[in-house]
Amino acid sequence: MTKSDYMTSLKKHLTQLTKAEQDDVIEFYTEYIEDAEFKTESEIVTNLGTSKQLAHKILADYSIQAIENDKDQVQPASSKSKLKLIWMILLGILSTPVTIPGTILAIILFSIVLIIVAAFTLFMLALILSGFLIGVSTLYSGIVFLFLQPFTGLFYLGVGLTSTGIALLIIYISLRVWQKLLTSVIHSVHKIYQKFSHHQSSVKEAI
Amino acid sequence: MNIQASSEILDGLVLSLLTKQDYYGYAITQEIQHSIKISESTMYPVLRRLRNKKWLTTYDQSYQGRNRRYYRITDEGITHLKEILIAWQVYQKNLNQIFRKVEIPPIREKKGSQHD
Repeated sequence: MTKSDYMTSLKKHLTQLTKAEQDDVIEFYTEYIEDAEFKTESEIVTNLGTSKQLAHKILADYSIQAIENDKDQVQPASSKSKLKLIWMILLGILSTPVTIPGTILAIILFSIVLIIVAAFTLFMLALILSGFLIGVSTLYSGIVFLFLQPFTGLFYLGVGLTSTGIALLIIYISLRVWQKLLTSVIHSVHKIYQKFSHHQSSVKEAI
Repeated sequence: MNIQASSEILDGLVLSLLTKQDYYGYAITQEIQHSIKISESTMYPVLRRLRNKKWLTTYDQSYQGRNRRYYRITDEGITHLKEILIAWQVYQKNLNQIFRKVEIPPIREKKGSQHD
Protein backbone atom coordinates (compact mmCIF):
# COMPACT_ATOMS: atom_id res chain seq x y z
CA MET A 1 0.00 0.00 0.00
CA THR A 2 1.34 3.41 -0.96
CA LYS A 3 0.54 6.92 0.11
CA SER A 4 -2.06 7.32 -2.63
CA ASP A 5 -3.66 3.99 -1.66
CA TYR A 6 -3.93 5.28 1.90
CA MET A 7 -5.65 8.42 0.64
CA THR A 8 -8.00 6.47 -1.63
CA SER A 9 -8.96 4.24 1.27
CA LEU A 10 -9.39 7.25 3.57
CA LYS A 11 -11.73 8.88 1.07
CA LYS A 12 -13.75 5.67 0.77
CA HIS A 13 -14.49 5.83 4.50
CA LEU A 14 -15.66 9.43 4.32
CA THR A 15 -18.67 9.00 2.05
CA GLN A 16 -21.00 10.65 4.59
CA LEU A 17 -19.24 13.96 3.98
CA THR A 18 -19.87 16.18 0.97
CA LYS A 19 -17.44 16.13 -1.95
CA ALA A 20 -15.95 19.47 -0.89
CA GLU A 21 -15.44 18.26 2.70
CA GLN A 22 -13.81 15.05 1.48
CA ASP A 23 -11.46 17.00 -0.79
CA ASP A 24 -10.55 19.29 2.10
CA VAL A 25 -9.58 16.31 4.28
CA ILE A 26 -7.61 14.64 1.49
CA GLU A 27 -5.76 17.87 0.63
CA PHE A 28 -4.89 18.48 4.28
CA TYR A 29 -3.50 15.00 4.90
CA THR A 30 -1.75 14.69 1.52
CA GLU A 31 0.12 17.88 2.33
CA TYR A 32 0.66 16.78 5.92
CA ILE A 33 2.22 13.46 4.90
CA GLU A 34 4.50 15.23 2.38
CA ASP A 35 5.64 17.77 4.98
CA ALA A 36 6.08 15.16 7.69
CA GLU A 37 8.11 13.10 5.20
CA PHE A 38 6.34 9.88 6.00
CA LYS A 39 7.78 7.54 3.38
CA THR A 40 6.24 4.15 4.06
CA GLU A 41 2.74 2.99 4.87
CA SER A 42 3.81 1.81 8.30
CA GLU A 43 5.15 5.28 9.08
CA ILE A 44 1.80 6.79 8.14
CA VAL A 45 -0.13 4.24 10.20
CA THR A 46 2.11 4.69 13.24
CA ASN A 47 1.53 8.42 13.24
CA LEU A 48 -1.99 8.86 11.90
CA GLY A 49 -3.54 5.43 12.50
CA THR A 50 -5.04 3.25 9.78
CA SER A 51 -7.10 5.01 7.15
CA LYS A 52 -10.24 3.62 8.78
CA GLN A 53 -9.27 4.88 12.26
CA LEU A 54 -8.40 8.31 10.89
CA ALA A 55 -11.68 8.46 8.97
CA HIS A 56 -13.69 7.55 12.07
CA LYS A 57 -11.95 10.23 14.06
CA ILE A 58 -12.64 12.84 11.37
CA LEU A 59 -16.31 11.79 11.14
CA ALA A 60 -16.68 11.96 14.92
CA ASP A 61 -15.21 15.46 14.94
CA TYR A 62 -17.57 16.51 12.14
CA SER A 63 -20.50 15.18 14.17
CA ILE A 64 -19.40 17.02 17.30
CA GLN A 65 -19.02 20.28 15.46
CA ALA A 66 -22.47 19.67 13.98
CA ILE A 67 -23.83 19.32 17.54
CA GLU A 68 -22.12 22.54 18.58
CA ASN A 69 -23.65 24.36 15.62
CA ASP A 70 -26.98 22.71 16.39
CA LYS A 71 -27.03 24.36 19.82
CA ASP A 72 -27.30 27.77 18.17
CA GLN A 73 -29.99 26.68 15.74
CA VAL A 74 -33.70 27.11 16.39
CA GLN A 75 -34.71 24.12 14.31
CA PRO A 76 -33.66 20.95 16.15
CA ALA A 77 -32.18 18.03 14.23
CA SER A 78 -34.47 15.10 13.46
CA SER A 79 -34.34 11.93 15.57
CA LYS A 80 -32.85 9.99 12.66
CA SER A 81 -29.96 12.38 12.22
CA LYS A 82 -29.42 12.40 16.00
CA LEU A 83 -29.14 8.60 16.04
CA LYS A 84 -26.65 8.87 13.17
CA LEU A 85 -24.59 11.38 15.15
CA ILE A 86 -24.48 9.05 18.17
CA TRP A 87 -23.35 6.21 15.93
CA MET A 88 -20.59 8.28 14.30
CA ILE A 89 -19.21 9.46 17.62
CA LEU A 90 -19.31 5.89 18.93
CA LEU A 91 -17.21 4.76 15.96
CA GLY A 92 -14.82 7.62 16.67
CA ILE A 93 -14.39 6.54 20.28
CA LEU A 94 -13.85 2.91 19.31
CA SER A 95 -11.23 3.79 16.70
CA THR A 96 -9.22 5.93 19.13
CA PRO A 97 -6.47 3.78 20.59
CA VAL A 98 -7.29 3.94 24.27
CA THR A 99 -6.68 1.53 27.07
CA ILE A 100 -8.86 -1.58 27.08
CA PRO A 101 -10.60 -0.73 30.40
CA GLY A 102 -11.52 2.63 28.86
CA THR A 103 -13.06 0.98 25.82
CA ILE A 104 -14.95 -1.54 27.93
CA LEU A 105 -16.25 1.23 30.15
CA ALA A 106 -17.42 3.18 27.11
CA ILE A 107 -19.16 0.10 25.68
CA ILE A 108 -20.91 -0.65 29.00
CA LEU A 109 -22.06 2.98 29.30
CA PHE A 110 -23.41 2.89 25.78
CA SER A 111 -25.22 -0.39 26.35
CA ILE A 112 -26.91 0.98 29.45
CA VAL A 113 -27.99 4.13 27.65
CA LEU A 114 -29.27 2.16 24.66
CA ILE A 115 -31.21 -0.20 26.94
CA ILE A 116 -32.83 2.73 28.73
CA VAL A 117 -33.84 4.34 25.44
CA ALA A 118 -35.16 1.02 24.09
CA ALA A 119 -37.09 0.24 27.29
CA PHE A 120 -38.67 3.68 27.28
CA THR A 121 -39.65 3.34 23.62
CA LEU A 122 -41.23 -0.10 24.20
CA PHE A 123 -43.11 1.09 27.27
CA MET A 124 -44.56 4.06 25.42
CA LEU A 125 -45.47 1.92 22.41
CA ALA A 126 -47.32 -0.52 24.69
CA LEU A 127 -49.22 2.33 26.32
CA ILE A 128 -50.21 3.84 22.98
CA LEU A 129 -51.21 0.47 21.53
CA SER A 130 -53.39 -0.48 24.51
CA GLY A 131 -54.96 2.98 24.52
CA PHE A 132 -55.94 2.59 20.89
CA LEU A 133 -57.18 -0.99 21.37
CA ILE A 134 -59.46 0.03 24.23
CA GLY A 135 -60.56 3.10 22.32
CA VAL A 136 -61.41 1.29 19.09
CA SER A 137 -63.14 -1.66 20.77
CA THR A 138 -65.31 0.52 23.06
CA LEU A 139 -66.15 2.82 20.15
CA TYR A 140 -67.27 -0.24 18.22
CA SER A 141 -69.44 -1.53 21.07
CA GLY A 142 -70.77 2.00 21.50
CA ILE A 143 -71.99 2.11 17.90
CA VAL A 144 -73.54 -1.35 18.21
CA PHE A 145 -75.31 -0.51 21.52
CA LEU A 146 -76.46 2.88 20.26
CA PHE A 147 -79.27 1.23 18.31
CA LEU A 148 -80.23 -1.29 21.04
CA GLN A 149 -79.80 0.74 24.25
CA PRO A 150 -79.01 4.38 23.35
CA PHE A 151 -77.73 5.44 26.82
CA THR A 152 -75.34 2.50 27.22
CA GLY A 153 -74.23 3.14 23.68
CA LEU A 154 -73.50 6.80 24.42
CA PHE A 155 -71.52 5.78 27.53
CA TYR A 156 -69.35 3.41 25.50
CA LEU A 157 -68.84 6.02 22.78
CA GLY A 158 -67.66 8.48 25.43
CA VAL A 159 -65.21 6.02 26.96
CA GLY A 160 -63.92 5.10 23.50
CA LEU A 161 -63.32 8.71 22.46
CA THR A 162 -61.63 9.51 25.78
CA SER A 163 -59.15 6.63 25.60
CA THR A 164 -58.37 7.39 21.95
CA GLY A 165 -57.71 10.96 22.99
CA ILE A 166 -55.43 9.84 25.82
CA ALA A 167 -53.52 7.59 23.42
CA LEU A 168 -52.96 10.53 21.05
CA LEU A 169 -51.80 12.66 23.97
CA ILE A 170 -49.32 9.95 25.03
CA ILE A 171 -47.95 9.84 21.46
CA TYR A 172 -47.29 13.56 21.61
CA ILE A 173 -45.67 13.44 25.07
CA SER A 174 -43.50 10.45 24.30
CA LEU A 175 -42.25 12.03 21.08
CA ARG A 176 -41.19 15.10 23.04
CA VAL A 177 -39.51 13.02 25.75
CA TRP A 178 -37.78 10.90 23.12
CA GLN A 179 -36.28 13.99 21.47
CA LYS A 180 -35.04 15.26 24.84
CA LEU A 181 -33.61 11.85 25.70
CA LEU A 182 -31.71 11.64 22.41
CA THR A 183 -30.32 15.15 22.83
CA SER A 184 -29.01 14.37 26.29
CA VAL A 185 -27.53 11.08 25.05
CA ILE A 186 -25.69 13.01 22.33
CA HIS A 187 -24.29 15.46 24.85
CA SER A 188 -23.08 12.75 27.21
CA VAL A 189 -21.53 10.84 24.30
CA HIS A 190 -19.86 14.06 23.25
CA LYS A 191 -18.35 14.41 26.73
CA ILE A 192 -17.06 10.84 26.71
CA TYR A 193 -15.54 11.38 23.29
CA GLN A 194 -13.72 14.51 24.43
CA LYS A 195 -12.13 12.50 27.24
CA PHE A 196 -10.71 10.07 24.71
CA SER A 197 -9.74 12.27 21.78
CA HIS A 198 -6.68 14.47 21.26
CA HIS A 199 -4.50 12.49 23.60
CA GLN A 200 -3.46 9.22 22.04
CA SER A 201 0.20 9.98 22.62
CA SER A 202 -0.26 10.52 26.34
CA VAL A 203 -2.28 7.31 26.55
CA LYS A 204 0.49 5.43 24.80
CA GLU A 205 2.93 6.73 27.35
CA ALA A 206 0.76 5.66 30.23
CA ILE A 207 0.66 2.02 29.11
CA MET B 1 1.24 12.01 33.86
CA ASN B 2 -0.20 14.58 31.51
CA ILE B 3 -2.76 17.29 32.00
CA GLN B 4 -5.15 17.29 29.07
CA ALA B 5 -5.63 20.48 27.08
CA SER B 6 -9.24 21.39 26.39
CA SER B 7 -10.32 22.49 22.94
CA GLU B 8 -10.44 26.13 24.10
CA ILE B 9 -6.79 25.89 25.10
CA LEU B 10 -5.87 24.28 21.77
CA ASP B 11 -7.69 27.12 19.98
CA GLY B 12 -5.75 29.63 22.07
CA LEU B 13 -2.40 27.97 21.38
CA VAL B 14 -2.94 27.87 17.61
CA LEU B 15 -4.19 31.47 17.48
CA SER B 16 -1.23 32.62 19.60
CA LEU B 17 1.18 30.86 17.27
CA LEU B 18 -0.40 32.55 14.24
CA THR B 19 0.12 36.03 15.70
CA LYS B 20 3.85 35.62 15.01
CA GLN B 21 3.59 34.48 11.39
CA ASP B 22 1.47 32.39 9.03
CA TYR B 23 2.02 28.65 9.31
CA TYR B 24 1.11 25.56 7.25
CA GLY B 25 -0.64 22.53 8.76
CA TYR B 26 2.29 20.28 9.60
CA ALA B 27 4.35 23.17 11.01
CA ILE B 28 1.49 24.08 13.36
CA THR B 29 1.35 20.53 14.73
CA GLN B 30 5.14 20.53 15.15
CA GLU B 31 5.16 23.85 17.00
CA ILE B 32 2.32 22.85 19.33
CA GLN B 33 3.97 19.49 19.98
CA HIS B 34 7.00 21.33 21.36
CA SER B 35 4.78 22.44 24.24
CA ILE B 36 2.10 19.80 24.76
CA LYS B 37 1.52 16.24 23.68
CA ILE B 38 -1.09 16.05 20.95
CA SER B 39 -1.65 13.32 18.42
CA GLU B 40 -0.97 13.89 14.73
CA SER B 41 -4.66 13.76 13.92
CA THR B 42 -5.65 16.47 16.41
CA MET B 43 -4.91 19.54 14.33
CA TYR B 44 -7.21 19.04 11.34
CA PRO B 45 -10.48 19.41 13.30
CA VAL B 46 -9.05 22.31 15.32
CA LEU B 47 -8.06 24.22 12.18
CA ARG B 48 -11.39 23.43 10.55
CA ARG B 49 -13.27 24.74 13.57
CA LEU B 50 -11.18 27.93 13.73
CA ARG B 51 -11.79 28.51 10.01
CA ASN B 52 -15.55 27.90 10.36
CA LYS B 53 -15.65 30.45 13.17
CA LYS B 54 -13.78 32.87 10.86
CA TRP B 55 -10.95 33.20 13.38
CA LEU B 56 -8.46 32.32 10.67
CA THR B 57 -8.29 32.31 6.88
CA THR B 58 -6.26 30.17 4.53
CA TYR B 59 -4.32 30.82 1.35
CA ASP B 60 -2.35 28.50 -0.89
CA GLN B 61 1.26 28.83 -1.91
CA SER B 62 3.21 26.48 -4.11
CA TYR B 63 6.19 24.77 -2.55
CA GLN B 64 8.51 22.41 -4.49
CA GLY B 65 5.91 21.85 -7.19
CA ARG B 66 3.05 21.11 -4.80
CA ASN B 67 0.59 23.06 -2.76
CA ARG B 68 0.94 24.27 0.79
CA ARG B 69 -2.02 25.75 2.65
CA TYR B 70 -1.11 28.56 5.01
CA TYR B 71 -3.23 29.73 7.92
CA ARG B 72 -3.52 33.39 8.90
CA ILE B 73 -5.26 34.84 11.96
CA THR B 74 -8.15 37.27 11.26
CA ASP B 75 -9.22 40.35 13.21
CA GLU B 76 -12.06 38.30 14.74
CA GLY B 77 -9.41 35.73 15.65
CA ILE B 78 -7.35 38.35 17.44
CA THR B 79 -10.43 39.49 19.38
CA HIS B 80 -11.18 35.91 20.34
CA LEU B 81 -7.56 35.29 21.33
CA LYS B 82 -7.75 38.26 23.71
CA GLU B 83 -10.81 36.68 25.34
CA ILE B 84 -9.03 33.34 25.69
CA LEU B 85 -5.98 35.02 27.23
CA ILE B 86 -8.12 36.84 29.80
CA ALA B 87 -10.02 33.65 30.67
CA TRP B 88 -6.70 31.83 30.99
CA GLN B 89 -5.30 34.47 33.36
CA VAL B 90 -8.35 34.13 35.60
CA TYR B 91 -8.21 30.33 35.48
CA GLN B 92 -4.51 30.24 36.26
CA LYS B 93 -4.87 32.73 39.10
CA ASN B 94 -7.72 30.77 40.69
CA LEU B 95 -5.91 27.46 40.54
CA ASN B 96 -2.68 28.96 41.80
CA GLN B 97 -4.51 30.12 44.91
CA ILE B 98 -4.56 26.47 45.84
CA PHE B 99 -1.40 25.16 44.20
CA ARG B 100 0.92 27.86 45.54
CA LYS B 101 -0.14 27.20 49.13
CA VAL B 102 0.61 23.50 48.97
CA GLU B 103 3.34 22.22 51.24
CA ILE B 104 4.09 18.69 50.19
CA PRO B 105 3.71 16.52 53.31
CA PRO B 106 6.22 13.75 53.92
CA ILE B 107 5.05 10.34 52.69
CA ARG B 108 3.86 8.23 55.60
CA GLU B 109 5.33 4.74 55.67
CA LYS B 110 2.95 1.81 55.52
CA LYS B 111 2.91 -0.35 58.62
CA GLY B 112 1.42 -3.35 56.85
CA SER B 113 -1.96 -2.64 58.38
CA GLN B 114 -4.92 -1.14 56.54
CA HIS B 115 -6.42 0.31 59.72
CA ASP B 116 -5.73 3.89 60.63
